Amino acid sequence: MLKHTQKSLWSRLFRPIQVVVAQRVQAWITRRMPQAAHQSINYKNIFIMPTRFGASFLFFTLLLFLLGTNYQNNVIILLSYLLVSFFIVVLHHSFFNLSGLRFRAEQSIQGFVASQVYFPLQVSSDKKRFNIGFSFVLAEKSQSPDVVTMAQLPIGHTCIQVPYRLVRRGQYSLPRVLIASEYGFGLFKTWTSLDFAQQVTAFPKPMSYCWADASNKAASQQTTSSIESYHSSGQAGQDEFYQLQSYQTGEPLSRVAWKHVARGQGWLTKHYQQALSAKLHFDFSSLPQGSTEQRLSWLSFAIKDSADKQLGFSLTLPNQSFSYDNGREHTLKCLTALAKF
Amino acid sequence: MSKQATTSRKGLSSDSTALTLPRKLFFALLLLQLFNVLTLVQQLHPFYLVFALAALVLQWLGYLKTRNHSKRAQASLQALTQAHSTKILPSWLILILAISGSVVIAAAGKSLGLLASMIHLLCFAYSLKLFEISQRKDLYQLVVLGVFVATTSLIFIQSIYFSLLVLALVFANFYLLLNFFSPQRRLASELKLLAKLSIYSLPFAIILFVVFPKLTPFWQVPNVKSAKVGLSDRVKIGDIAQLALSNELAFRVSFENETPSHAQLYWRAMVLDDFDGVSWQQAGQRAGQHHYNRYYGANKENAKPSANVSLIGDAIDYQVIVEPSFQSWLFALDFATTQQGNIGQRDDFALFYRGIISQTTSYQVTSFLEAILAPSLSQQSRATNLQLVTENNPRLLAKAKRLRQRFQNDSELIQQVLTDFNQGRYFYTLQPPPVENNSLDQFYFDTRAGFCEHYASSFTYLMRAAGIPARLVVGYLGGELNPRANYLSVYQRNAHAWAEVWLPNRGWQRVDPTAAVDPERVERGFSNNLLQEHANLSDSFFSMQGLGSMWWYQQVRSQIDALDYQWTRWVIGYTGQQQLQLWAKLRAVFTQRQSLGYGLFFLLTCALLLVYFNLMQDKRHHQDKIIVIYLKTLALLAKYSLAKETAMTAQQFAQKVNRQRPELSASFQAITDSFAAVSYQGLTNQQYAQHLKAANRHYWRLRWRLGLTRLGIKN
Repeated sequence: MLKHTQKSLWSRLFRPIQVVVAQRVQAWITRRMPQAAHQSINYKNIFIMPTRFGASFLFFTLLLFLLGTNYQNNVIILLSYLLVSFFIVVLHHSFFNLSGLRFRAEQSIQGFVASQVYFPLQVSSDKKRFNIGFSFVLAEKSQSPDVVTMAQLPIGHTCIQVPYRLVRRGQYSLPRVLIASEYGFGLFKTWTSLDFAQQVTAFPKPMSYCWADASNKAASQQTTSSIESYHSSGQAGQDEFYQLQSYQTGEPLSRVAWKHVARGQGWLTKHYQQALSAKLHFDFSSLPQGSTEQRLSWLSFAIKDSADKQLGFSLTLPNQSFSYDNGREHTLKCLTALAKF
Repeated sequence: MSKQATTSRKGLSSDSTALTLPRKLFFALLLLQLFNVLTLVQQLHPFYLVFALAALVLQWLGYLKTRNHSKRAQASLQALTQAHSTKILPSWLILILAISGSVVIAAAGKSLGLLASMIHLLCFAYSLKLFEISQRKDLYQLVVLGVFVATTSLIFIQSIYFSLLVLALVFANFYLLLNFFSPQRRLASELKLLAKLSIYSLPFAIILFVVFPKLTPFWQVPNVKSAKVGLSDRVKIGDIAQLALSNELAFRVSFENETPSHAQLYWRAMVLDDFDGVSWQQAGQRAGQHHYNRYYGANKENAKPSANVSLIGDAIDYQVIVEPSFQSWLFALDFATTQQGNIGQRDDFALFYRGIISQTTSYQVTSFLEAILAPSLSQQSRATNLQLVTENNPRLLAKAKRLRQRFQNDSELIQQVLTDFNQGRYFYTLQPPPVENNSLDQFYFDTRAGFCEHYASSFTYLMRAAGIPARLVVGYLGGELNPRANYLSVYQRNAHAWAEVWLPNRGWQRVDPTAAVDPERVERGFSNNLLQEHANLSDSFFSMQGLGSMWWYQQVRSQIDALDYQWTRWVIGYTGQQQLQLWAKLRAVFTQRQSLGYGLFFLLTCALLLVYFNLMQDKRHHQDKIIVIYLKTLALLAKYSLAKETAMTAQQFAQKVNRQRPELSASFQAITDSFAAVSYQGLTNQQYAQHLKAANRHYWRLRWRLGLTRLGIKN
């Protein structure tokens, strides 16, 4: 109880200061490390700090020094100096584990809210590097980001799928990517956060139609019919195996073609496709009653589902409309419109 | 590649991520724990050792169990990389173990001693920690504990080999962390990296060691307990002969200038002036009283007034490095002064260490070999040094009386006693026949065979009986010169006892009756007879005669010993005083030869900066390799009168080459293309490597072709 009040008092006192400091730091970081699609990291944009273990290691070294001094034992003193020196060498070693990495990120990403998307980041390295974690810097501190950790980064180009969980609908710029490592001995945390100037488009979260309500059904006869036709068409479609593609870091393991892996044919993932067609029309205004977000979600579901089943459709929104079409580009256009709505 | 990426929900920085140990790491953990504990094996109680071993075996068995289990359970991909969970014992059992173990150690604390029980506690915690590695921070703690355990062993042993072993072991402990962070590396590359990093950390550590001020102890620490080694402060006849069988090193000396002759090397350890008829000891000790007025500082400035010495003759400087004796006697030539605050001097001119010498200790001494010790003798001192227990040795007493009647002059009397020793069929031996009740009479008149303390004791007794103040001095005589490093090693077998008599105007005079019996002992050390005896008596496998005669053994031994000596001198024996001297020397260099000093300093700084910038450089020199080849090619062509003018572009020059030497054109065009690609295009690493390879090949082809042309083989 006491602890709680203390905490609130603490936060009340220091919150404004924290906010100001955070803003300043943010501004400084933006100035120091401007956004760019191609970036390389070096001493200008790498941060390095001892970890808690690093600090305790130094304290422990001091302890050894005291032991050596109290026993007037030069060998122990020499050892404590060696450890201090080792600490400094490891500092450089940890720094060089990140320094010199080059990044390219030319793709924007898009996905549905509440889903995980992967930001493709191409990393080139001139040497082997170890234990580097990639994650997005999230504004909300409460949310812990998903980290993809490369236990070993090979020489040459590597494509890394940095996971990003979409929480907010819309089209906005991607946050900074945090590239961090404690490689070496855990004594130092080396990190940098880079802004690749890429956009993320978060489509509304797809929600299936679940109206058992009869009044709703009556009110929107026209829509229902189109929806029904859509439903029936959807039922006819079976997931059909389409093709195998080579595995990209970050893809779900459930889609990995394990048989191929076991046969030593490399890491492949299965991709599916539906083959069916019907004329569908989705109209925002003729949807059953619901909040805008809800309606968008329904539309999102409809578009996603028909796209999955390779069906053509047209879309009408209050501010714009898309004529009947088919294909990936069309789907993307419609979904983007939903995201921006 | 895909296996290298792992996605975790938690952030990287959290130490609380659940930890699973790969197989390699787990074995390294067990092995390193074993080695760390082994460094302290001499200090640890057998019970603890059994416990530590049992803990390791238990871990091992637990591992085998989980591995078999996982084999049966699943034969999938994951089973191959099956991580081992170290949770073998439940937490409550570990808690009970920890508490009971601590209680046992506390209970045994009295008999173990403070230091030993602290070490046991440390090792106990280290052993128990192995059972609780669930998080990353546990691994950190384990590594730090391991380093601490290994380091503690240096309190007890500091020889070069052991120290280097422990240093290597300390760095090996970091292998655990390295492996944790880069598990896919091969062992060889990990070890190489570790070796590289530890070598990189050497220079700075050495600079710190030389430069960082040597501090005095901050607080009292529990002492290392061990049996006393070497001379005893209570000497009965027969004692030193026993000691003389030991080949252990007592101390080492390096003289600043010339080493004095063997016969001058009487290393005074202590003066025994109280004889109870059987044994000699220091006056005042018998009653258990401390004569604080008998102790002084040992520096030269207060030597004169307090210690009653007249300093004449040249001073010689030398450094003594004593091996731990767990006593406080120090060894020096008369008359010794030292500037070190932790060394005092008794009024009998013996140096002593303020404390117990529990580890190798070094001190700097300035001795005045010709100084007159105590030109005047106080009444009290005279009384002490004439004191005699008359019951035990009536025959000696009577002889002394007779001598005194014959010789009025003290010097003549002394000479007569020595002549008697010399001509009286006395025999110098390590195996004196036993005498009843340590009777000097029996030795002097009957057995006539003894070691140095027999002669010194009976001589001193005779002197006192004749009314000449005399006392027994014990210490070491001589030492063995190591020609490689020019230092003296003094072994326990060099232990010696001699006598001191006080003569008016001449002060305390050293008289060594052994010299009268066996002059060789004093001049050169052990005679062949004595060596033979020594070899027969000392039951060590590598006896001095057996192996000692083989020259290669001598060579190897002296080499090893020299190495150990340098280590002892410069690392173990590096004192604050030496540090100050070094600073003074450096300052002298800077002030006297300013330009030289500053020049050196400047060069050093430049070199360091250069190295640093080289390191900091953004690996750009990779790109430059092709450019270097291009420039080399230009230089080569220039030799054959094909110079590139500054105004020409690379392509223009290539065309010129094509016109003038078409046979070179193909190769040169390739190099030019690579050069252009490097300069004007962004190359991937792979492309770059290809270009480099091609450029290199063409360069050599070009060179070969030009070489042939020059020899006129080909046009």
